[in-house]
Amino acid sequence: MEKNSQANTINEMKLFKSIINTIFFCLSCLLVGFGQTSDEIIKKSEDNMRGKTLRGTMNIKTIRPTWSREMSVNIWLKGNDYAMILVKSPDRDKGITYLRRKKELWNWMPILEKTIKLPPSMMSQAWMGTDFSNDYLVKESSLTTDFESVLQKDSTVDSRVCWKVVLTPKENAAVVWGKVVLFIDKTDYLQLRNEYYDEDGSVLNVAHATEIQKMGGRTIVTSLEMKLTEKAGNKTIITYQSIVFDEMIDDNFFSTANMKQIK
Amino acid sequence: MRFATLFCFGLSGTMFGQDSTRIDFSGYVKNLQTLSFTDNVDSILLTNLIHNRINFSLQKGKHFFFNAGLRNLIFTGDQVKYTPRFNKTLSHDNGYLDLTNGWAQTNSLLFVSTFDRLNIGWNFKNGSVQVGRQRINWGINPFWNPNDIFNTFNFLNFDYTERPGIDAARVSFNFKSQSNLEIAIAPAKNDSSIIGAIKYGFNKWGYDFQLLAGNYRTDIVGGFGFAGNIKEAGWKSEVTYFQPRKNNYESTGSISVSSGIDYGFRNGWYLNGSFLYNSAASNQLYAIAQLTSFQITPKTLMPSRLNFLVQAVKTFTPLFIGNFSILYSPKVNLLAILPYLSYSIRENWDLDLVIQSFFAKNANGDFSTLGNSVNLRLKWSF
Repeated sequence: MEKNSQANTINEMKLFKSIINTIFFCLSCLLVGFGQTSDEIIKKSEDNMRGKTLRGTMNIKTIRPTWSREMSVNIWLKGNDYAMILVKSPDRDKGITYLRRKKELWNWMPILEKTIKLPPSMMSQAWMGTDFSNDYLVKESSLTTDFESVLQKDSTVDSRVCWKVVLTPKENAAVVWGKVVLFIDKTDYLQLRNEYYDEDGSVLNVAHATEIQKMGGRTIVTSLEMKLTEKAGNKTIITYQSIVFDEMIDDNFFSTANMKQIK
Repeated sequence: MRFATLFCFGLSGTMFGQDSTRIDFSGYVKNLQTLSFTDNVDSILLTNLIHNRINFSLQKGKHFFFNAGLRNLIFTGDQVKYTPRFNKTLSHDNGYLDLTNGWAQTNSLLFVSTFDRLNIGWNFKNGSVQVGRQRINWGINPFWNPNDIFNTFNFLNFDYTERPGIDAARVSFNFKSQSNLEIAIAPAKNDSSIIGAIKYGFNKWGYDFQLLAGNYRTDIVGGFGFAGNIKEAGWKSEVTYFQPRKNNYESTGSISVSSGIDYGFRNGWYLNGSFLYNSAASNQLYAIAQLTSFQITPKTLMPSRLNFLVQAVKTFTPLFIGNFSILYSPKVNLLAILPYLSYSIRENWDLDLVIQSFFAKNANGDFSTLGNSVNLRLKWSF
């Protein structure tokens, strides 16, 4: 059974990272900037998208042509270093918790009453055949480090006027994308559409904001859809139910001891 | 009777529910069909197990908590009929308290209920106290856990995910910087069965380390374990040394060591390579029961001293996971092939196919079958 749990662990761990990816992506949708350079816009967005802290609940729906599954999670983030995710549903996985402290990752399996330290290679795995990869997370959080950015002619997404920022990898940067294009709303500074290209210039993934609301005192993208362009009908929809920004969360909240306690 | 009283006590926990009371209730129902056979397919044994688990937890305010885990098992079929002492073994409670009750025991049916968790506790600022039947899990590795001296488990027993609990008292302290201290004692009806130990855990250089010392039944024990990584791969190890208390100068100590490396690939593959060395093992394998028996100890987690296991897991789709393990024990020339397929039929419904095949070298030097089991399991979680 441990084997199966291990398999579940892998699966859940992948999910965890995808969630982190998604959270950072969602938050990155808060991109702001007034006539700054493209780098300044991105830098500011990266500072903004993490807030000081974040606490929220979200729903993740994985959709495939013949099936779909839904999951509900609670999340806690502090800056770039700390993250905790607690699975609330489905019943089968309820109580499974993930903790990231800097580069270390742990998983609490309530059914085994066991804390499992996960290898770093898990951090770079794609997850569950869905539409996120872990490089996506890492690179998303360091766009100005790994990419050269250029502002192009304004564009329109869902009737909103957007900056179009084209990112190309810096020399020797270890990134999986050949190019990333961001469409950033000029009124509320939200990333409305992100396109991820391979090295041959073909678009691989498209993330599209489908709902914008005021939540946690900020106007943010509360629902987004990630599609794999190669596989029609494959997508993941992520929807925030609630978010609280900048609440005081002690570093010790993000501990392996607390991982067993939170409910 | 004691069983019933404790059950009522368990339920009474729900009665003092007030504003700050949080109650959680979960569990599952599984149906497991097992076909067991050796080479002769004519002598197939067919056994069915209906397995229900109910988890109940209550948190009263910030401090008080109560946990109960109840298993209801209904076995029918050939194993009940033909396995010697089947009913007696399974309806016997190995704990300090008797929390098991056999409701019906016939030649072909066994209905037994057991609390494998039944404990109360108190959270304080930097830790907790927990008393009663509980799982004290000090193991780090996925398959073999020399450090897990309280709740030794057999990884081949795939259907008992939660694993047995032990009647014990435990105090845990959590310190800043991710270090912690645990002290636990499990009383026994005779002095030679008491387990008591202290464990200190800390995080350093990207590793989780733990040190433990205490008494394991007739032995003094000292152990060490860690979980960390070599570059991108995970590395987990445990070692425990056992020194018999009586006639120390005559008895030799023994050691159990396990270590494993695992790696997750981008394309959905996961690999784990592990070994176990337990010096107290007999290095003799007579029957399959030695492998599947639940009476293993942290000194002798396997009948062979040296054992290797390689596991490959592939996530084909989020719903379909394949798992393949090979176990090899050189001295006794044991080879086990352990495929495992898991499919999520719909939310909270799982279908698993688990095959376990054991081979060993016979007197002629050829590999012959020790035993096979084919298991089909349907599970509904709630």
